[in-house]
Amino acid sequence: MRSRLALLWPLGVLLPLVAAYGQDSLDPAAGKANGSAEQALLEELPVVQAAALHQQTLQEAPANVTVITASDIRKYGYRTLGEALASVRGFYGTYDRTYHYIGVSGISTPGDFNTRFLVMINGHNMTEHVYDSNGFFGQDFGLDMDLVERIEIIRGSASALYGSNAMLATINVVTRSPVDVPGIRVSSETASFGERKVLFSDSVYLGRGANLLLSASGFDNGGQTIYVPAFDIPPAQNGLIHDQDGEQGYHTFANLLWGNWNITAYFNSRRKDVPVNAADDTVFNDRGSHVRDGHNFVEAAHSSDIGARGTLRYRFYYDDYRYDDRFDYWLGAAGSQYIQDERSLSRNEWAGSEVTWTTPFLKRADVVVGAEGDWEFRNLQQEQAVSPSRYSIVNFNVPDHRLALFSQQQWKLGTRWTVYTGLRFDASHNYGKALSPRLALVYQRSPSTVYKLVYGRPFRNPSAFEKYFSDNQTLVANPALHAERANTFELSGEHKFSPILTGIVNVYQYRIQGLIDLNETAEQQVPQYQNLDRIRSSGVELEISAKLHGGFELLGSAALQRVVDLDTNLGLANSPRGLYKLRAGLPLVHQRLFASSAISYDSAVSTDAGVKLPPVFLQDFTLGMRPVSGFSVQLGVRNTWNRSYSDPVGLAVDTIIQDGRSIYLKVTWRDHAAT
Amino acid sequence: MQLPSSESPRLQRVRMTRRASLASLLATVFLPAVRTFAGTARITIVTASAGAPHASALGGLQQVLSAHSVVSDVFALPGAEAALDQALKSGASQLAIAIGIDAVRALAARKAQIPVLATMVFRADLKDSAAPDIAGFQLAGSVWLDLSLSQIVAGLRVVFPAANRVGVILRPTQANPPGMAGVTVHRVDCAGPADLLPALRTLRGQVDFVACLPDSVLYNKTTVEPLIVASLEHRLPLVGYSASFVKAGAALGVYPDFGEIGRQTADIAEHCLAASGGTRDETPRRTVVTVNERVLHLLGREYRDNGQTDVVVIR
Repeated sequence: MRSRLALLWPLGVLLPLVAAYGQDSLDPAAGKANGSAEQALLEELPVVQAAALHQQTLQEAPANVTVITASDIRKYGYRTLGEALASVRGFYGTYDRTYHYIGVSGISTPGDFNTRFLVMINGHNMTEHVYDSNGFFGQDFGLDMDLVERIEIIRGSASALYGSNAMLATINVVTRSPVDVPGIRVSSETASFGERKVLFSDSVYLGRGANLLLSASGFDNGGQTIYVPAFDIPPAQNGLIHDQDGEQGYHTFANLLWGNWNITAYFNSRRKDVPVNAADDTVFNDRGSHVRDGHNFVEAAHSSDIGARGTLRYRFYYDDYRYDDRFDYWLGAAGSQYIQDERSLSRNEWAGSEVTWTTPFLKRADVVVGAEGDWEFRNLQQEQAVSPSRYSIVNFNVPDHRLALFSQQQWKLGTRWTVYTGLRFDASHNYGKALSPRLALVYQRSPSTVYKLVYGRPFRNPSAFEKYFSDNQTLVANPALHAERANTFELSGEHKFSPILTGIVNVYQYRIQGLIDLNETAEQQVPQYQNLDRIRSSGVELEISAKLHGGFELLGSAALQRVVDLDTNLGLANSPRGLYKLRAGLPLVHQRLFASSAISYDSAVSTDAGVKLPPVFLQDFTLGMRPVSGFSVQLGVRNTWNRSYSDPVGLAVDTIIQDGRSIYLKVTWRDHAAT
Repeated sequence: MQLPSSESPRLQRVRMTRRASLASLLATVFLPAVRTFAGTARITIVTASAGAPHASALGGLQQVLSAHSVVSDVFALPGAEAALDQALKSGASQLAIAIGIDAVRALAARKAQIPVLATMVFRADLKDSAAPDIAGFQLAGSVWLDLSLSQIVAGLRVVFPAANRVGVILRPTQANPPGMAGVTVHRVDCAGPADLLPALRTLRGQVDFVACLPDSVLYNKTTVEPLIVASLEHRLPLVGYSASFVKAGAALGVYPDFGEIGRQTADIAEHCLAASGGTRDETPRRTVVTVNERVLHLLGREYRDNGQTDVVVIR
């Protein structure tokens, strides 16, 4: 513990330095007409983006909230949701060269499909119900970062509002409004390892209050040759995988604002070559191995005033998730002449609706009550052998339907204390019922200091794959599988030391019971998802942020955490004990150039097999510039010092190598109206 | 030889104002605290802010005045207060022009023995400004920032001629605006920021526009986002009191032309120096109307820029 605390020294040095800097800087309001009409006239007010009109926002949630703004995305060069999230205090990323995974509070077990998060786009839940994944965080997340106005992240339980999966964190991606990005925008991006991407977007005013944003992008990433030491044997080309890391696909997004209607359409598809599959009898370096997936939705949301009785919001949506893969397996020993071509297919379609009524309560606060229901038309999983002979291995369809009722109430206890209570009841035809309470106590000690204590009891239903999939070889179904439950406690304090310097401390403990994990059945010795473990994750997070004179900004954070299996008292795989991040940005040349750098240090982690991987230190640089009107150029270097490191993964191998140093260049043109 | 300009008078005026603002800002930043122009200064101009409105007013003043000295940003720039003391004691100045209430306070605190012309000042601010301090000096005249509701409505009607129901949110201590022919004014009382959104909600369906009058207690960096979001949700377009408010998300703004206030003040100053006795109180003789096109589009309203009117469009 002592050694870990010693790693906090950079923050200890930084804090007083920044505080001293802040005291010396000029306060522009000093000596000015306070509280006067003239002050109102002179005050520079922040531009309010129409994205604030999106009906769901987490910013006012009684929890520890981090917001990544469009400006952060631009300045630090976040090109995927995964990159943006990995910059956040206590978050870390893992990549198995097919999907990107995000861990928080030390929990990101290899083989898990990001099931303990909730990811939303403008409040639309992105969880599909085959694997309970969230669309993941790389290019398979079908929204381009250029369209993001902000990313809101709340830590801890949000099941009391959003139901299943909102256990460790809830991430709401708020898109830019059609009126906030006027005109045409075209960008082109190229990067190391053959990455190429183009994006086109346009916003048009259609008249009568209708504003439309349309965006489409296409990408084609060549990938790189990957060395897999475990396969460094002659039949497997000495462990080298050539031309089997590519990725192609498209993203499209449309948003129509028309009066009180907000209509969103999101269509995307991606194909990824898979260098290493989960099953160890997959043909190595097989050019045909790939996955293709996509998640589409259309949502119409409406908000209406009902006079003194408050606001009524309702939305209707239709979602469609598709997954296909193809893998070749050895029939017999590796290298034998017989290969079986297998294809998998998953289809999930559902439609739903949500009604929320926000009404004033005793003139002091709002109470929110709502109901949500959705109906799956298909939850289909198929697996079949195509050659040498065609036969079905798995074929089942288990559509579910769900209903939820929820309420959230804010109680003001005097001027400083506020209590938030939330309760949600979920009923699922396939997975049973769950009651999720949440209680938050907020103490506003002064305008610059606030403390929050939050308790929640979130849950995660098993996915259809975990409960029903059975090929009797790689996995066997478990009809008795039930939801994971957790008790989460968080205590946080936020203090503004000065107008430019803010500090946050967050202490938490999550206890998860009935963690769903793979185990072998006693009778058949075949893997099966079971409610196995009880785990406890505890930790402390510190963060300081400073916005200094001249636009120089600094953000440093440290997260110390420990996750243990309460039955074995052992740690979990892929659970770093410490995560340290520091980023700084500086505008130059009259705001026409912005230089930034980010440093991260993730402490050692162990793999599923118990192998310890060394700590990882990475540094990125990003330079953004606007050389001429309408054009902007961004140049970035990732893994600047070309560190060689691997991530723990749940595949046929225990670890897989990550990208070395890479460089990217992005050029964006916006028409005159948009600049 | 100057070629005839094809630009509209509005555009020329906007460019002139911008140039004047830019020149003043640059001068404020790069020149020392006291600067003297055109020989012996008979007029001392005092500013207490480098904000754009004050810089525009200073630019307008300097376009007209010949012999003057400027003490800039009296509370912030090093040496500015000492420079002001010296300018007042030298005896050369026959008139001081205070731009903004803080400049008035700076002069009042020094018990200036020369007449003071206050400009870019709200009446209420001067009234609230510790009467004993202010009472001591000789006020030669003033150009107020206050716009009457009828001036605001006139500006509003340049863009939306049919607007005839206007809401106004005032603190309980503020007086009722005078009635106007052909316009229904709905007043809503609001004790403080916590009551701002409920006050706005009561105007739903009652008014075409909500006029926001300058009040830093009700309208500031903290309250502006929820206020603007609520105005969009409730379809209540806001009429802001500054360019910054319009950029932030008010549908349109009506506010004084600050460069013109500078020129107006200069005219009064010349009059004060030429003739003795009497004070002149004036309100802004020219207003600027600004529309925020993206907000109008969100609200389903359209403004057709025909180039004939003095309207600035923010896109």
